[in-house]
Amino acid sequence: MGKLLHVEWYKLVRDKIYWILLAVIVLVNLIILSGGQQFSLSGYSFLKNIMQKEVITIMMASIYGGLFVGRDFEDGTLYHEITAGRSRIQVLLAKTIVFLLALNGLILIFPLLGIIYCTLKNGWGIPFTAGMEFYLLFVFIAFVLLNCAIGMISMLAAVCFRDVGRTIGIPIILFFIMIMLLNGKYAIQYAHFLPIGMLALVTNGTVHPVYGMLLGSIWSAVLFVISALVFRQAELR
Amino acid sequence: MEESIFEAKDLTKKYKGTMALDCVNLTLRRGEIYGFIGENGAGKTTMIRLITGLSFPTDGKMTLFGKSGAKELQKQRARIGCMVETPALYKNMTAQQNLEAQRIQRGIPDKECIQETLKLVGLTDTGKKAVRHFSLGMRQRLGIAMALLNDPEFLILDEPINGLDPSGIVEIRELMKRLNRERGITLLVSSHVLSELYQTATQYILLHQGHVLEELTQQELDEKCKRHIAIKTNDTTKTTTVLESALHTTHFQVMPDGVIRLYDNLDNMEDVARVLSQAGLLVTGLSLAGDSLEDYFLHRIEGD
Repeated sequence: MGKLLHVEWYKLVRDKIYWILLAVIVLVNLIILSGGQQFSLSGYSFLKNIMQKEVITIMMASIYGGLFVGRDFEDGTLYHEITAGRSRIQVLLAKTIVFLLALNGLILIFPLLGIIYCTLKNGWGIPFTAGMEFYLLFVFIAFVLLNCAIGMISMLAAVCFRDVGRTIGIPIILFFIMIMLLNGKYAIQYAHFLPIGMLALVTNGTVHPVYGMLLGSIWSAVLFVISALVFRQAELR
Repeated sequence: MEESIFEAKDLTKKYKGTMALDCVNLTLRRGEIYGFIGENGAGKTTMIRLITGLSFPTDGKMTLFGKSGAKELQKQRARIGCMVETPALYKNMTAQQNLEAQRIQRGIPDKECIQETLKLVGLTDTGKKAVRHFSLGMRQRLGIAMALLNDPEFLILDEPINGLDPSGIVEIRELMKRLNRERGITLLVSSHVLSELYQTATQYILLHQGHVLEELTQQELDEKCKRHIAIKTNDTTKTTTVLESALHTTHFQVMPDGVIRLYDNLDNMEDVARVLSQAGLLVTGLSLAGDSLEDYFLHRIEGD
């Protein structure tokens, strides 16, 4: 398993597209937010605001998911591990772990940089009370797990379709459907079940981050199990 | 007894109503170079996919290095090197980085193996060029290098000379022979270029419509394809006697269909005809024959 993680990491670090996309995401966010007052907010207020404005970032990160995972299927490079006698589940798990780390890197890079910048420039904004560090840690973990849940859609699409086109296309379609549902009549109800909605609820404090952690974990686990079941018996061409 | 590397017993693979492999029984022995011959859709790649674990059999049993069962087969695949269809390469990386990824994944501690393998396939001077800018032949060489990196005991190459220029074909052919001779690697090579396969393989497996049509050694193939005078008469027994007494030769073979294959006197066809006629035999066929591997394969599948 260690070797599989190592090789996935090796591939990620040498993937120019990832680093270019990371830079583009920071740039796009800077352009979008440059006209507003975001950078005059305190660190805490920036945190509260930013995750609700990350829709485009999440979509761009999902596209990368399609490239990172779908390309391995399309080019057949994923098969090196299988023909070398590795367990399919371990191959999938290693790929998933590195992919989700990469995805979180893309989604969280700008919020983290923004929070650091705003805190250094304008201060944290509210008194740092006892237990706040745990709350912030929970918020961070909830974000990570909810992002994982969103990323797992790309992983499942990759495993089912095994090409770049559909691995990028299907999650984007689902993404738009989720956005539509979250702008509809039952938006609040849907937000409690859809990872992208839960991100907003956790950010604005409507629900405790533990719920976000729970929802993110459940979605991630369910989607991974389905992916694993499909991949375990998949005919790889 | 020679050690078997791979055995298939009644191996069957069905794809949505299409029988890709139908109760195939096959044994591959250590130290041989197997030429895998068949038309498109004959089941060659399906068989390779089953051996390498990319696909699962519908029925039947596989044994790899004497071990069977899903878990054991998976373990034994670490001893295989393979290139299935097109080379699977990381296109944004260099040749060296591709091999480094493979080295990490295979858990090979010695980094020197990368340069050695690149040298072996003639790719030492590609520098920082990304694989996406490689020619088809260079990709093919790199694919073979990826398959060779773990110093496999059993090397499976699907269409290895695809896209190679004539000198590249010779190099890869020599490489395959050298790997077999010097390292004792067993090879299973599938190719549509049968003339090329003929110069490499020591054993042949003819696959047709999911069945193994024939397995034969190089000697057996040579024997079957050898240039000869094909003689057909009204009395086979008497003909053989005449050949022995009048032409003083025993270098002939009587085929199951009664045709006699005479392997000498190839330049004296008129003498042969005269001798047979003088002996009172009715000669119904007399011709110079001899198959290439292509001819032989085509005759076999037409006759199937």
